[in-house]
Amino acid sequence: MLEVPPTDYHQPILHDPTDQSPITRQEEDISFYEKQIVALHNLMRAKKQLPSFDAVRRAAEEVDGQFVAQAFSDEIPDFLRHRLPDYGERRVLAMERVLQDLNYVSREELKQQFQALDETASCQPLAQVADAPETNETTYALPQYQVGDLVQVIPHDKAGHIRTPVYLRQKKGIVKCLQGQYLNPEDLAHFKSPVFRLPLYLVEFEMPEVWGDRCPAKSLKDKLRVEIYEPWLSPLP
Amino acid sequence: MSNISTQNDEPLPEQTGSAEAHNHSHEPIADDEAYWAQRTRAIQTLLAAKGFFTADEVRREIEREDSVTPMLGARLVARAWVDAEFKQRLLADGKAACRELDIDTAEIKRLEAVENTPSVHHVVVCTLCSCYPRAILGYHPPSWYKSTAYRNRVVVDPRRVLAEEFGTVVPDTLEVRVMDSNADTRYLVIPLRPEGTEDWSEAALRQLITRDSMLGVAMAESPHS
Repeated sequence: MLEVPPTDYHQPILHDPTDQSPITRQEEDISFYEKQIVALHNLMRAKKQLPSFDAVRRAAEEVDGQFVAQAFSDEIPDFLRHRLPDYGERRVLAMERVLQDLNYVSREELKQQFQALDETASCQPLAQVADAPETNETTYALPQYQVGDLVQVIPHDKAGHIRTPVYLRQKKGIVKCLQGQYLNPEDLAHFKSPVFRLPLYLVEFEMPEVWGDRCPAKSLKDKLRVEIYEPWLSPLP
Repeated sequence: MSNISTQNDEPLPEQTGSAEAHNHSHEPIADDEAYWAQRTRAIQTLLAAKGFFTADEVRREIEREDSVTPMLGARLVARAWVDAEFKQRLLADGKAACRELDIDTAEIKRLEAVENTPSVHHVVVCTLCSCYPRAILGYHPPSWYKSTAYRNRVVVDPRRVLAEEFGTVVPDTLEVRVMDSNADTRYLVIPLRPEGTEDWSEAALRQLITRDSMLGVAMAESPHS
């Protein structure tokens, strides 16, 4: 399995604290194709043909970046280039990217099959299913923090898939729980190998610490609890 | 050909601008959904031809996912309401408690039940994508849960979002605790058991436990409603 480095148009998930747009409560029916792509993804993961769910998350962020930068190749037809893809569409595009990353299908095969409708287009037989990443299960990092420790999220500007929300950068919180040791999803997403287990903490942040003057008066004593992998934390006295 | 494609059996028109040789309609695709259905069907057909799975496996997986509804979460909560020892086990290890009730959580790495009390109200969001306890609430989160508006706003002003968008007023005396399920844990909120249900059976209580109450955007239904 080849590592997939971050693309230059990869876009981390942004957060807009000024957003006041209404939350549409109407629940849309799920399209059949959306059920189908989700089922394909879950099935392939259950059959260990996909090494983790994280690669599709990373690929979806690449799709986001592709639309923002308008960095299209022919996989996006003209009529789709003028709006952002919705949830299910984005999932289809992300899944196609991951299948190509793993050399399961080629762009050409996808194009030909799309044209062939219900006929099965000719395609290359599968060479091999991607290996699971090598994981180091013996060297557990000794957790550096204890429950009650004060910590600060580092201001790191890491390229590629990240699992620490951007709104928490440099925010101070308190460790509430060690959740366990989990394979680093930021490496799994890019098919790195070997992948190490990292201590994962539940960290509590006070709302005024995170939002400053934007914190609503009624939420001065409210809290945010977020899971942070140890490399994203620095100790505070 | 795939059994599951029967719902999408219309012959689909060709994508605009293609110069490939073909013998079907040249109408441009006017319907986005038809376009994405065909594109998804192409992925499935190709992967099946390469031996990753059969169309029958995909159909059964869709059926399995369709069969998962918030009723599974409601079973956990109702049991926790009537059985204090079960509640302690649920709070200690969500996946183990699911196994007791034969609920399959294989794809959830860690499940944490968070209990609403007279002093704390929990509400769940995923600001990164739309991580959701699918194995116990259903494979497709509601549209609002996936929306950028909910993901942007509920972490900043949870009380206003709950009150104005969901009609759920959390008293000032309670702490609101927003759980961002950004990493490996999926959360299940155990809502407060409504007053006036002391004599209710577990089966009757389940009817009061809605999906939204297990995400913390609503309270459990009142026995009078």
